[in-house]
Amino acid sequence: MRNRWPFFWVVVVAIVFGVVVDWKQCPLTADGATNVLATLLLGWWLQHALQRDADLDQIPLSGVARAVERVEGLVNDCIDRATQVSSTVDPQLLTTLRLLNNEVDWLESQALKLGISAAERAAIFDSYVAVKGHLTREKVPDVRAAADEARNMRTQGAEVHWKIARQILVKGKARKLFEG
Amino acid sequence: MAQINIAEEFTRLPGPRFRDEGENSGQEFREEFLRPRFEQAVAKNETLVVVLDGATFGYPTSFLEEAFGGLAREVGIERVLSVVQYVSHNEPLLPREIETYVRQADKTSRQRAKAAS
Repeated sequence: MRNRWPFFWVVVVAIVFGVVVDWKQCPLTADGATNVLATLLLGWWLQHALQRDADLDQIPLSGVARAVERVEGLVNDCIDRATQVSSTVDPQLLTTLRLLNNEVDWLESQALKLGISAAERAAIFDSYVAVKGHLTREKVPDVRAAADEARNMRTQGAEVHWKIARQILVKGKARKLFEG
Repeated sequence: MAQINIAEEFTRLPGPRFRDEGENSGQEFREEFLRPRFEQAVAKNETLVVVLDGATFGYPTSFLEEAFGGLAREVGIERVLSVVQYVSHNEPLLPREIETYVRQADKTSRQRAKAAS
């Protein structure tokens, strides 16, 4: 249930503001009708800004940020592990890659809910497949190539984060999208 | 609908690419399980569902590329894409990952031939 109290106080402040301005007969808003219109516009703008802040507070943007951090951490763990093994079927390496798979999937699912295009979402998946490929495609991991791609993957993670935040600002009431 | 459950029928510990690199390889899985089941599914005009859940640690790219990319090199990319489907709850991106290897099977083949020469 959305909290209506901010709107109530905006209306009260707007009315008081209008009365004060009209009472002083400010030259810029000499016409009473103009005063009313300006007051309503100001009230609407304040309400819109407050509502947007309230929506942003309820959207798990911090969760998205944590997921991006986890992706970065897991990629680093994969690279670290790959430097210590001589086989691409190492259990710890494969388990960490599986965790990375799940984090990338979660990020993509949030991006999908917000209507971010498939092409924009695909970049981080492509990076994940490339990192995994460098680490497990041949007999031994290609750590150098994986580290290069890992840097790209971190950038892709940050871009997905930014795109999700942008979509929330554009769509305003994005909380409903997260709630399905 | 035909089905292969890799963990139950083949192994919970998928191995490397080729037989001579170790046990439970992608080549072994393709030759002993995937290709025969694929042919049966095609003969019956069925979809072949490959269940990927149950692997203890996960699937290395080498295993997946050799099994599914290898099948695509043998029977054709479009045939594999139209007949084989994948189920993975443990690793949700795995089906997309495998389809990537299938779609790039020709390219991978050229890269490997070049590396071998």
